[in-house]
Amino acid sequence: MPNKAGNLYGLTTLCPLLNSSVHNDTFSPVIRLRELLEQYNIVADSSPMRLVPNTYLARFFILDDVIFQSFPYQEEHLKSKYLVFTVNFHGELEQYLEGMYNAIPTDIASIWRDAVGFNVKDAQSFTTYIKKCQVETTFLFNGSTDMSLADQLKSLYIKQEFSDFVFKNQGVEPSVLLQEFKKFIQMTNPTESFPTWKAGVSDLNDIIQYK
Amino acid sequence: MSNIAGKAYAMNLITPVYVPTVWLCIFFLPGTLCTFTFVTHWLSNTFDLLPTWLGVLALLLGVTFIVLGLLCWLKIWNKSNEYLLWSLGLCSFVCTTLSSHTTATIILVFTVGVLLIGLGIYFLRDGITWVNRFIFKLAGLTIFQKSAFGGLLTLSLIHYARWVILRDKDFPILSSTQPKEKLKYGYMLFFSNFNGSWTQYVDSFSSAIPGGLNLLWYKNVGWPDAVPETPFNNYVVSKQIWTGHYYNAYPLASSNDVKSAQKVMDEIRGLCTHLDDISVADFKKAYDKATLNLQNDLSRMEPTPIVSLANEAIEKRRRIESNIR
Repeated sequence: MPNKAGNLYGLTTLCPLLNSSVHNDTFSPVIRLRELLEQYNIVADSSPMRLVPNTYLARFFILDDVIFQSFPYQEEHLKSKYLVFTVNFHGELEQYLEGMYNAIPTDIASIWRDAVGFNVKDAQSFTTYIKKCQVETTFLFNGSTDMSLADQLKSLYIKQEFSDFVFKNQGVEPSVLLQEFKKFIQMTNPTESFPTWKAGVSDLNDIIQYK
Repeated sequence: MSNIAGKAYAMNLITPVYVPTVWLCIFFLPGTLCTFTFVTHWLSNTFDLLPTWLGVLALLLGVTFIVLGLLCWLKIWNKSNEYLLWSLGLCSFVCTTLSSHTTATIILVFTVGVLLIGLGIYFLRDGITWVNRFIFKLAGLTIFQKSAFGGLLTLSLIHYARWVILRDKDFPILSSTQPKEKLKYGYMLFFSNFNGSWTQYVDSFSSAIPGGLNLLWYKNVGWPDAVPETPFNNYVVSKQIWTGHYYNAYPLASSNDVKSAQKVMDEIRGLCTHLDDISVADFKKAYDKATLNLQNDLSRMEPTPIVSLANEAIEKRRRIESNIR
């Protein structure tokens, strides 16, 4: 199944957009959507996708048209513009989309407001809509680990803290090292979910989540 | 626009898949030849040389097809494919020289002709995307990954990558009022998530797996080959679509950090066992062994250095806005 590689799911969707707004906007749906997406870029760590469980990486862009290669190849055009939404996540599609709708219903309504056939009222209708927009991935390459996002973030937290630990405790007496290591384990709790790193945060001062 | 999220870069390429010329001829040339052979013999009702009037008709048809093909090639008339028309024209000329055959041979020839044309229409209506799909099927097999795509596995800067091949009928239709796409070419979409700058990535790809790239982009329109790099880079630039919004769950971590973190976690869990009753000497031994195993995996992750002017502009704007507040 090309959409999956191990526990990784590669969702690819092409959501057709309305050619003109039905919301009395003075500008086209494409311009509104571009401005909306840009807002997520301007404010640091404000992506709604950070709230969606098990999302590794996601992207939105607008496919205005196909690309013309120049003579002697034939010129051709798309009849609609498409919002391309792709996401790499851990797990199964239905659970993921349900979790996505439950986490960010307002953002979903805003992003897909001007999409053709978008009449989403709940998680189930959102799942149905996205499945209609889904195109099959031909080949999916997983260059990362096959762990869940929570495990990856916990491991990254441990790696960061242990790197500091090793640096600070170079050359100390073995008995002190053992005591310090016990404190380290107590602080970082490797076998528990917390503390861990927050998803989608790039500020080191605000990255640790304690519960 | 934002192709960058922390240490990750999002690349989107869309490339048309070639409408074949040689492939068209392979199916249509013998196909139409066989069909014409049958039709002309049936019309003449004898298996001798063609009557003069039919020979003249075939000659006229041949000239017409060749001229129409030329008009297609010059983009003056775009209702058909020049190679198909030229195949038909050539077949018409060949028909003028036909001699007798047995009925069984003629029927066999007719069947083969129809079959070939049918196959041609089936396989070639959207370019040769089926060939590309087949290549990706092979790419999924371990034996081929090692020989042709081994470099892809060693390009550790990639988080995830995917290829999606689309024909016009694959574009989603969400409403009866939405116009259906009508495209001559198939299209291949490539999405990649990697660390570092655009140049580092494209150059790494070109250096590490040139053969693999040439296979994956087989018969894509205008594909210049992965080496040399300059035309390859130009090709990628001209096919790239900028990302509107890009989200990364771990903006501070590279793909190698994620993989290293798993090793660190495994070693730490190993060190934790019997921690309450372990002797100092045994712990020191285990600790040294663990840190030795992790010597390539321990490093502190920090916010990414500025990798583009656009990224720098956003950071500057944020600083200004925070000062205003």
